[in-house]
Amino acid sequence: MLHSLLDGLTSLGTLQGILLLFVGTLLGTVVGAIPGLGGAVLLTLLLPFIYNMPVVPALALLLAAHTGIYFSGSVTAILFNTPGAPESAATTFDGYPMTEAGRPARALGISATATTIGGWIGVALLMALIPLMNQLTTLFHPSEFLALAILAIVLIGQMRARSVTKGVISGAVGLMISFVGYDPITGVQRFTAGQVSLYNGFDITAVALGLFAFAEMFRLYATRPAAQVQIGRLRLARAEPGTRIRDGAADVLAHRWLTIRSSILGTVLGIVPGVGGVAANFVSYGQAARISKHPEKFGTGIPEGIIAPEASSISKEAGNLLPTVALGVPGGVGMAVLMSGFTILGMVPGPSMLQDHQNVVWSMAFVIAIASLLASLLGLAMVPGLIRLANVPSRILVPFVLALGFLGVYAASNELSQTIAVLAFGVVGWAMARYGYSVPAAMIGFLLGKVVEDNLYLVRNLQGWASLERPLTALMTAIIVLSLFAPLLRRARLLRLLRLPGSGRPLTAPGPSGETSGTAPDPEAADRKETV
Amino acid sequence: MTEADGTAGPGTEEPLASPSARVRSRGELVVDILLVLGIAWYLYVAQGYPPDGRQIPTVVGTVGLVAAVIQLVGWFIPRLWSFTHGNRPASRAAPGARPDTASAGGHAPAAPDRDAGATSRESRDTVVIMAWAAFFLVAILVLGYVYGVPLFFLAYFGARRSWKLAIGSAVVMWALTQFVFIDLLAIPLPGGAWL
Repeated sequence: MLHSLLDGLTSLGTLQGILLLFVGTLLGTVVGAIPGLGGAVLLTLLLPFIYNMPVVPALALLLAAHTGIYFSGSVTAILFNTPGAPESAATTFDGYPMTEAGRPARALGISATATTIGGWIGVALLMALIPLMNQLTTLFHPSEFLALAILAIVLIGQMRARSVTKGVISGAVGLMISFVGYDPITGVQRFTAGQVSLYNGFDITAVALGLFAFAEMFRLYATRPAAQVQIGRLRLARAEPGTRIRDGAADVLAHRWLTIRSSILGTVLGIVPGVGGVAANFVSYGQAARISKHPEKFGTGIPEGIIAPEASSISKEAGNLLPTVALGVPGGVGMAVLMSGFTILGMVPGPSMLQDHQNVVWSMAFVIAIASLLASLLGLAMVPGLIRLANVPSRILVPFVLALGFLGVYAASNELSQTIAVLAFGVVGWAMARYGYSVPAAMIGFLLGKVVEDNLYLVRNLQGWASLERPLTALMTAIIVLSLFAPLLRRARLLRLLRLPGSGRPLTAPGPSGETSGTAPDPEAADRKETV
Repeated sequence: MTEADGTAGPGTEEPLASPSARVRSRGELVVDILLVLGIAWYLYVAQGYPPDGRQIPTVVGTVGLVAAVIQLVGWFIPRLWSFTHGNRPASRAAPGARPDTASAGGHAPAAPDRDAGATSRESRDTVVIMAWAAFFLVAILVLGYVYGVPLFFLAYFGARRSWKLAIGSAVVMWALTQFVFIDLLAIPLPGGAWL
């Protein structure tokens, strides 16, 4: 283990590795400040450039870019109340009030320090868990891999889609797209309509660029341009005592247990596929408010309200990395795109990666640790520039992203037909997002199609129904079934409660996932109100 | 009808209920029908492959078809709406989120109270940018990357009367195409059907 750890550090320590780590962090910092251009868009745009690159420097570029977006996303969240990345949304709650109170530098100091320390704690936990995970994966049989892949698709579908059926359809569509092309079992060409260019299926880059980058550009172009934000002269360097960046850093150290707790929570949530992402930061904020001695102050611009979500933002990515590399099941959207990067580099995420390429896994852990510090330093140094970038009209950015997408997809596939596919997937991705389907579930379905197909084939031929007698398989199958039907059961239970005599208490009508949809004493009356 | 976020496809926004009522869109119905037809076609095609080759697409396609049919049926049955077309408020998608911030920059549902004029304008703008993207693709297919890319930037920013930006961006993108992609990355970008 020590040998592979040192090997990982050495592989990253080359000039190319360090340079690409810096470039990735810089790109992430710049792009993170632009609302609408999230990490997934940046990662998909970088995918074509990693072809023919050595593995570690290529992954350093991708992972550093992914890590870099978090702090700069928080810069706009704190200064403008506009999160650059969705993950920074929870930071607005106390970050912006602190800016309004004349302490923007202190808020940025808290964010930078908490993000960095959170990233380090996440990486430390990741390093501790990798050897354990290495042991755990030896217990996995095809039925467990199959169940885990389906679980990831279902969980991400249910977390990000607007209804149960939409979540299921999103994942199924992704899987169905992945079956296009050469069938590894029979050698038959499937769903290609005789097109030679589709014999190898759709290119990962085309699908990722289309579903994320192009779809997001279509949405961004149509979004009403935000008003130009002016926040006056930012006096970061010469701020008054009590409002300086270093005061923010001191706040984090003063709340060290909150920082540690939030980082651990972020890492743990990141490990569960589908649960990380935006939710982790809100959960972290929520737990900080719950256990605080003065919860009523949350939302008024207190340090704890910034520390909690920021400490979990990068630590969650460290957690996300674990199921991605150990089991081949991406923990979130960014990791799904990163998994495309693994495929491009000829690596197969899963138990074999932990055994054969453990040095690469360690390198990735180091990249997160270094990039979390670098991104904070770069972000603080570039605050005035980031403010200007955040004000660039989206309609100027859109053509550049489209151009890079069209250039990138050809660079990756050498097939002009894939440029047509990228546009088609862009329209599909836009429609999915617009009508409440889960784009990440479709992408993860596409990526895991081969895992599902291979393992389902093995389960059928080797294990059969006996696979359900295996505890791990049975457990995961139960979670899949529960995550699909629990919302319905919850709704039925609430309806039954409402019908009980004397239970006329005001209640919010439960949605498919138990969500509330406004105050409605009688959900059925609310249903009747829904008119066609 | 549109859902709470008032979303619908281009040209299909016809809010048929008061803004406070949860409503759906005809665009959504079109998507539901297309899904059923598309997945049914997929299953039909799959039946032409050898048993081992069609088995897994058939399993996945059947699951998708069942979900799509339930979804389509749900469009007509209000009691099923929350299961099939339910709106997930931002506060649920991200616990504790404020609706205006949780959706920012991501795929979370948009704010529920946008007026019909705004959604209509958004639909029109979406069609416009998709048309621009299609024009860009045709330019690449016909003229190749080296000429198609700068031409697109000239046309896109020229149409917005930003000629300085049009010429500047065209030159920058031509240089990027030629020097980075062709020379540095050694990618033989195709010349186009007319060249």
